Amino acid sequence: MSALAGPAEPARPAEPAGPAAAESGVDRSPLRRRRRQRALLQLAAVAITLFMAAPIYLITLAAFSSRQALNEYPKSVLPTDVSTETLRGFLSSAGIVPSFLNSVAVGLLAVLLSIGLGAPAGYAIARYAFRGRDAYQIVLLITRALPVVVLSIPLAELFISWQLYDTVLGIALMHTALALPTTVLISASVFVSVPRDVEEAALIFGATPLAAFRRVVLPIARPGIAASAIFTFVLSWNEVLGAAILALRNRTLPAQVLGSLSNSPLAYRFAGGFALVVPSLVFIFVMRRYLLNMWGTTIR
Amino acid sequence: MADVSVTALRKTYPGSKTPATEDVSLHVADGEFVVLLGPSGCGKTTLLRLVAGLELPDAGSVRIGGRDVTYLPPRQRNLSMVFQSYAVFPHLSVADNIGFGLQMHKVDGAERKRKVAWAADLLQLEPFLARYPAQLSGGQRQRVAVARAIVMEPDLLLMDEPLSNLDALLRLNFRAELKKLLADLGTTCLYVTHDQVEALSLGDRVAVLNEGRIVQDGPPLSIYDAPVDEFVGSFIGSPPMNFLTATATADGTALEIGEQRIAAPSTGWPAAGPAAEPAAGSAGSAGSAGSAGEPDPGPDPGQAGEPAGAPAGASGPGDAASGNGGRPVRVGVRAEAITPSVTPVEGALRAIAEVVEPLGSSVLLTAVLAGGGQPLKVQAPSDFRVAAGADLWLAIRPDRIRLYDPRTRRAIDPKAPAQISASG
Repeated sequence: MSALAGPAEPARPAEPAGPAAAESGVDRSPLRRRRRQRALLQLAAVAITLFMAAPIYLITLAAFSSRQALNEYPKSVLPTDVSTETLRGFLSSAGIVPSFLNSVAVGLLAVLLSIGLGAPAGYAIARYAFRGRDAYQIVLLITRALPVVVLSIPLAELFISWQLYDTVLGIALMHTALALPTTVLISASVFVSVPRDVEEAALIFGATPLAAFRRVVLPIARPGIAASAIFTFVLSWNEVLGAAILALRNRTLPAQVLGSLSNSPLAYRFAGGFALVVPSLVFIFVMRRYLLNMWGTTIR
Repeated sequence: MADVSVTALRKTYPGSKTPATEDVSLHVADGEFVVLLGPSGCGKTTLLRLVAGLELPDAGSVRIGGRDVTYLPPRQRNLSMVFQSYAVFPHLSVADNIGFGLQMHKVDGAERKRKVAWAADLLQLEPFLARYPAQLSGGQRQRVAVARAIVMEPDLLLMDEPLSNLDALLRLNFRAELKKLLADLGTTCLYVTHDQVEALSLGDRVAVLNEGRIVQDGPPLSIYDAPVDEFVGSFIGSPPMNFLTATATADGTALEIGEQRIAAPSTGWPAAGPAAEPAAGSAGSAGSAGSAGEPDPGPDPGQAGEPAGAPAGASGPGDAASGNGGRPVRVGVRAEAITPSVTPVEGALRAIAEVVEPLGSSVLLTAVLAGGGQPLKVQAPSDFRVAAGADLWLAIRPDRIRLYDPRTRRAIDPKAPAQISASG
């Protein structure tokens, strides 16, 4: 910033003679610095957006190009030759549609389980000062330090004996385990932000503790819960290592694509990448409403 | 509508050594408006939460309308509460906020609508019924909270510092509105505040709490005029009551303050001459008798502590004070009971004006007594003019003087409150 402020310095003595002469003695350089900082912030936002959006755009472009267009050089960055041939080819490949459905099922199941187990735990952390609360929070975080591989091999053995191996539920359980620590900690911070008074008011006005939670606390906490749901779904959608170890035939989409990546054509890879990106984007778009929209006021 | 009896209620929070309320007893008659007043941490909010059922006591009982509710959950107590933070539900519209309690009690739709409209009309909320709390100002949100509470037509309405989050002008207006509204409805009301002006202006009765106990309980003006101890005197009133160290003269008709003298009050002395020590003791037991909550909260808290066989205080100043010669006392006097003058006045205390603060409706003087160096606050009429550093003569009305024991800091004669509030 200071380097950028440098060039403005010589301009200052000239200012009283300029159009702002009526306001002589007013130092306008802080105002200009502010405007410059705001413009830089905008620029940074645009740059980050481009950085994130460019790969998604390029993958989309490739997924909707014909095989010939993919092999052309130089490629056009504009959609000149739109075709669904590549995507249709990908979708008709063996095991893609079932694994896609598996991924959706695993993701939704993991969201349900992690919130069903994690939100009450978060509520307990937020509302009750019980013995060992701090230790519990740290242990939660430590579980995240275990690599998925370390977790997966014993799980595979356990799941085989429990007949959960190679099932959607099995993978969903593992993803729930991965997501639970963050779900608990996020929902704890969300419940802390729900004022205690509001919950007590519900109790005073006739609600049972359960009704107070369901009708008052939960609706107020919904944006935060939605955030942890997004987190869990995206984590589950992208998780490939454990899913590949815990299933053979009932694979999730990333595991399926990864398994056949090395011996498939370029078109298949682009279409697969597209199929992996889009559902989590759609999920985030749907849940975004809960993140940004807070009962009549929009957080900007 | 119902009366409320709190008996010997005790609560110690986990991890705390000192109890938040210590054997507090209080009776609120049907339709009465009682204010719990005290500094922060005195236990007033705890007492309210115990009555509400948001906390459960370690000992004692709470009865509403004769029914024991001590350990019932809040929803079975048929009471409403207004919170300091308003505690309106942010995800519900104003209409749904007001109707929340009715909905929880399974009141049918048409009836609910009628009652919500009635409450909204009382608090001028009709234009906002479809809005959400985020779209309302602080004052409007507090109206929603009050509407939500009265729409239940509760046996008892609890208020926990409902005005303290409003700005000054709004607070002043809403205070008067609230007083009228609750008087019209006739709801039994228990109101917690740390603002003594609010307490005096709203309450039919004020209970002053300190360190988990009720130290004085009575009509607002008797508490203002005749505090039972120096804590109440300095907590209530702005400026607080002045306390001067003095000595009674041998004949008991005057008080020596430093090298000066003023006329002694005819009341406030122990009922019987030689009973100085027992009288101080009786003041102590009177205070605890007040907190033990006699069912009749009449303006005579001293009755329980009066020594048996002592003549009732019909004695003249001479008899009453004759045994008090040389007795050290603390003289309590309100700032507005002192008349300042810039010219010498017979029987007045000579002092020096240290600080002069014009407040618009009056002038607040901080004076230091000549000789003794004791400071005191004086409230003068708004047209009173004096320069800082000038001499002042302060005339103190003897009938507005209260006498306190320098050791116990309690009123020497607990019977005096009734007499003073009767004369003033």
